[in-house]
Amino acid sequence: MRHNTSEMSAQAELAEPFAECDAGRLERLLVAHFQPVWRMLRRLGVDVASVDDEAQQVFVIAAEKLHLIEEGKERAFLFGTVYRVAANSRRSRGRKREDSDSEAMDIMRDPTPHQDELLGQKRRRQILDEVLEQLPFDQRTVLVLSELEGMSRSEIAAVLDLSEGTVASRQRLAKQHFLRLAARFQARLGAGAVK
Amino acid sequence: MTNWDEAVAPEVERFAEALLDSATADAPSDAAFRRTAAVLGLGSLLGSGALLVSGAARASSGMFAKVGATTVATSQGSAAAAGSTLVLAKWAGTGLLVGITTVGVSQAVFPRDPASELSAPVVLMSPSVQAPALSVRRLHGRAFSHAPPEVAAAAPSQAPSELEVEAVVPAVRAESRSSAQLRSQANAKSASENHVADVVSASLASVESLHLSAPAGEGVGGLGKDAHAGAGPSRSHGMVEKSAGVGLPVAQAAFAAPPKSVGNAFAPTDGLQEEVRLVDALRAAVVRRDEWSLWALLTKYDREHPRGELRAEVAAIRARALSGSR
Repeated sequence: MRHNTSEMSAQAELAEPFAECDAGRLERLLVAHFQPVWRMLRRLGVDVASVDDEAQQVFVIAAEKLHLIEEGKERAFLFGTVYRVAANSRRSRGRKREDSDSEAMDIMRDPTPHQDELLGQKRRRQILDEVLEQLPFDQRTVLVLSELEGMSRSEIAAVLDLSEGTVASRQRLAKQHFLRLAARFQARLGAGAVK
Repeated sequence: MTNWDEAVAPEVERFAEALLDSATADAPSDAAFRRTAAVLGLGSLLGSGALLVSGAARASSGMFAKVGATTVATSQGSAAAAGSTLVLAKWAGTGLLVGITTVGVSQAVFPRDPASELSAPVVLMSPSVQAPALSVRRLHGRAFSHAPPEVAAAAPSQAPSELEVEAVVPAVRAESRSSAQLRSQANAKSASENHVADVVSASLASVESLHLSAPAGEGVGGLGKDAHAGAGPSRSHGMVEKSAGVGLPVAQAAFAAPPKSVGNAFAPTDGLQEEVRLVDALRAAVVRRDEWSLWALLTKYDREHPRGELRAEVAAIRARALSGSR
């Protein structure tokens, strides 16, 4: 789907609700966090077709509540919003998840055709998503925030509004689960799957 | 490196690490960023292609955390792009001017048709002109200020190559009149070398008096002997004096011509003999019906003998060639 400049300008003109907010701060927020937000949405299971829209939704929410966000806590706010947006997206996905699961099973059942592609990062990312898909969403979120976004337990606790103990527990369980799933994938794909 | 808190096989751990590392390179498209910026009313980010491209390219290395630096880099990139365009246009214009100048100078310095130069007569004397005078002509379009109007009008078409002393003959000076007559006779038929030498002597005397009217450094006297010492045959062929053995100090200083070529150049029948050879070749080409040679020879004759003695004969050959008859 292509959007030319005129369409974007028209969209910008329609963005009346955000006209009164701090444009400079919003701009900095978008530039600094758009990629992490987008990436986290993908790792939390939002599919490629809708990840752009969901990322946009996250920043729309942030713009609406920008005056409520404390300075220095923008990331926590955004990631908390990402968590909720991704959860809603997962709930509304339904059938697509089943397709994804069946695709994952196809990879495990018939790994041979993909042997030559396994060195590609895109292929590894696809396997990662399949592994994460099989984690419970709570564990998946903690694993993504800690291992991919590099957040500390306290930061994760603040984002998810959880105690640090709960975060630590979910983190431990998530790692164990992830390793078992990775071992299964590796066994199916062969020893030379990833070098 | 992730602390897995669990004893796992090294290969499984490497596999798990590789999977997690693969996520760092995942990045959104520029279009997604622009759309979001548009929705938020951040028009300043819409046209910042450099920001979006470089941002996407460096996102995996944490570039998005440097908001201020990115914005500055974006504006600098846009300014640099605009400046580059101006500089490019400026240099293109300069290069065009230099090219035009170079071509013009090269055409002026180097003759277009070396062949015609090589065979150019030493002294272009027209029998129809009554009295000689010398005009110092340098390159195209110079001088002719001393030539009669008809000569001045006709002369540029001859495309002179270099500095050459041309005897054009207005009825100016009584002292030159007799020499001009002698010179015409010599050029037309069979004047002796002594007569030619006298003509040259008289003509060069005129040159000596006239070259001062030429701009400094461009007249005859402005060119030293050394300046033409290594000159090609065209220049030396056109200049006469030294080998003629008539003692012409001005000409000696100005044009150091090889004796051999000079002697041939002043042979009075040389031009006519050349004309005769050309006419014979023309007739042969007509007989052979060799149109290519015919028109090449006609062109050569027109170029080398615009006032030739055998123009009438050549005109007849041309007419026959045009009519298709032998």
